[in-house]
Amino acid sequence: MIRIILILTFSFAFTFVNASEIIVSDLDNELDITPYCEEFVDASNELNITEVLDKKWTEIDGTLDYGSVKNVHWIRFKIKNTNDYKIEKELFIPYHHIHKIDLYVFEGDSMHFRQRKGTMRVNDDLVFNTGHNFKINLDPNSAYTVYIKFNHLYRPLRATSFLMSSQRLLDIQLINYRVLWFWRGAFLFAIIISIIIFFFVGLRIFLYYFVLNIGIAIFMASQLGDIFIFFNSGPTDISTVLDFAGATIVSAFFPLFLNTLVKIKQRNEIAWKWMFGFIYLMVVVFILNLFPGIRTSIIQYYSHIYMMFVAAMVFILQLVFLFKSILLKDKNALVLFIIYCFYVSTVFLNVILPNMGLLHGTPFVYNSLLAISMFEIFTFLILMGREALQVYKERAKLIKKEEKHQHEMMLSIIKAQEEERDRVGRTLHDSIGGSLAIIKQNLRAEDKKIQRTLTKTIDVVRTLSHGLVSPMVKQEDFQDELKELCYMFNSSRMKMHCYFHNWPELESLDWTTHFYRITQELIQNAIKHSKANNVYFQFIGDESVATLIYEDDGVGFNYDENSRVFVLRNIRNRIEIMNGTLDVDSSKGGKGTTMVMEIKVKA
Amino acid sequence: MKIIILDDHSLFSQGLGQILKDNFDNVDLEIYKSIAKLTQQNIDYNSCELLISDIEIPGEDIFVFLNYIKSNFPKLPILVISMHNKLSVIRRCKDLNIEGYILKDDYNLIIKVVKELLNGKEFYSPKVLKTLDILKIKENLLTPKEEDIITLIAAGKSNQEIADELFISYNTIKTHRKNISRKLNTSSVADLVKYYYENYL
Repeated sequence: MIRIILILTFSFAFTFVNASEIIVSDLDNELDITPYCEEFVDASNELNITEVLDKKWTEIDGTLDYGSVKNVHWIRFKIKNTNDYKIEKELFIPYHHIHKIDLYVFEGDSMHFRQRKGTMRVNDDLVFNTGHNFKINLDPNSAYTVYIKFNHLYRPLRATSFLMSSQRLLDIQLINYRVLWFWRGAFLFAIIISIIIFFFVGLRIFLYYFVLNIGIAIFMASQLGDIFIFFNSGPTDISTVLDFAGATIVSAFFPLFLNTLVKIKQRNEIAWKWMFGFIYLMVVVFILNLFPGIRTSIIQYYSHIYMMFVAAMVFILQLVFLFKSILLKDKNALVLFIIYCFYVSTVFLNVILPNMGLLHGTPFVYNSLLAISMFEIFTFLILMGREALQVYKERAKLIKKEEKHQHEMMLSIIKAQEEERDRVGRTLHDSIGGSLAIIKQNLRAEDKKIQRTLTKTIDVVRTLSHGLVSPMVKQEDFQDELKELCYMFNSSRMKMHCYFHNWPELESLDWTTHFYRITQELIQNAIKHSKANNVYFQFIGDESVATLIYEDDGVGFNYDENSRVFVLRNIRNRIEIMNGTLDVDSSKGGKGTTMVMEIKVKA
Repeated sequence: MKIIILDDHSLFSQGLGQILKDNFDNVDLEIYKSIAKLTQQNIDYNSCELLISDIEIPGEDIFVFLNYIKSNFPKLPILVISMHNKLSVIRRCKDLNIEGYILKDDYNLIIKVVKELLNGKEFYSPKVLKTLDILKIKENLLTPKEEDIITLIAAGKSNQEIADELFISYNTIKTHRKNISRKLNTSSVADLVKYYYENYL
């Protein structure tokens, strides 16, 4: 919207050409006939063709540019074929907005209304995307006058007229058509991609971009006639509503979009405030314009002036904040700069250069507009991709950090636990065990009963302390220690089995301790809960993996999602510290329990 | 009769020395607290009749020293008196052909073990021997569950079918199979089946 308004803002006619007859023999293939036309303003909007013929016509120059004040414009071209042969030409009138156009052709020097040639009226249904075209046959040595009635009530108008050969027109239209469809595809692509990225990344900038594009799409579709083609109807008053709706959406979300792109501390606060003030005031104006009662009133006239003013201000403020971001080396500065360049070049290509007469004969002003907006779309896509990638990277980093933190916490818990056990175990062994030994020595031999009890107690203390004191199992002793641990609990009720195969050297003494403790806990669990007759420990390894397989033929337990949190917590923690996996296969029902613990071994 | 005692706890070594003096004639004791001090003395081990050693001397590796004695003076009998009834320690002593091993609380055995060793015999206290028995335990190569699985493999069943039949999860079956293969050092089903026919039929 802003872009379109800018076009209006910079619409100044520079050239002064007298309106006169166009001599067809001077023409090669193509001619911009606008500098030669005359106009008549029908303020009443009630005159028909016969009534306007004798009115006072004024010469105009350059592009046909009118505001949206309530008006009907008549345009008149005089064309003369001085050749001795017949010429077939196409008259094409490209314009920026869909309007009702009525077209009449008169033949002869005088302004006779020729019934034979008839009047040609372009139906609304035949509206081509970017303009009207129709064929005129120029007889030898004859003159024609073409009358065009632009009914552009409440809408600004910018139009040009061309006279060219059929083939040339067809070629241009074809190219134009392709560009347009490609643009539509790119646009749709950007819309879809941005909403998809939004759902995956959850960054609001993509939502804003999506809504922004929707707004532009509504606006452009209305401008290009897509909506009317889609609904198979002529341009009606609803198109104005759509224009304003699109413009409102764009204006409301453009600042939000910019907001997310530039860091707060890198903004020029005053410029930013003004820009936002203008844009949001404009939104209010747009919303007001949505109501037909207001739109048809004089408010619209002022709102157009206001829009132009805002567009100019925003244009300048954007420049300010762009320089600011470049100065501050914002990472988006380059992309913003590119977008701004497109922006400026759009204005130049579409408005300033044609109006200065430097860029004549571009029949389809939208071509460059579409091409540039396409560049814009892709630049934004790159920008969005970069943002999304960064968010993804940061998130991955965060998760990694979190994991590391958790890992460290677990490690410290296990370590503290280990230290505490060790301390208790040693105290038990050295202090209590020692004291008991002294007591035993000093007991009289007669106290057999106390002697026995004491011997038992000492044994219990020793076993207990043995289980508590940190084992610090050396790599080369691992097999012996673990076997001893297992067979220590061999009993007639529960038979222990321990099997080693290719057990590799583990990463550190901590790891051997982890395995020792895991085995210890598994044995405790087996004794307490399993009611198994046989318990199997298998320590199997190869070049890359060390596997501990626990099996029993006991009653099993329910190991599901809910109980997982509490059951085997210690074991799971230790395995997690070693970055290993735990696989438990058990359920109540007596088919036993199988647990598989796998730890990667460095080569 | 020259006897060397190596123990970092002097109270223990002195006490032990006293017991030996009380029970044997002509005991010539040399008591050391660390290997470093012992090796400084340039002792003629050939003139010694017994080396009594602890197994845990702080900061020193006793096994290196014992290995040195064993390989250079095989005739000198060594008695280890330790508080450790640990398989790993005992196995190493056994591997070094150390003649005697008793625990520090086997106080009633001390006279007996010294006598046995001086007579050129071996003596390990019963508790130690019991621990050492662990090494004699021979486990089957395959656990019952693995036997079930290999039976079903030989019957041509797929992993899923085995899982269904044994009420074990598919993943567990896969792990079991992997480990059976590792234990049998083969990865082919044919070899598994062959093993089954050779050992279970």
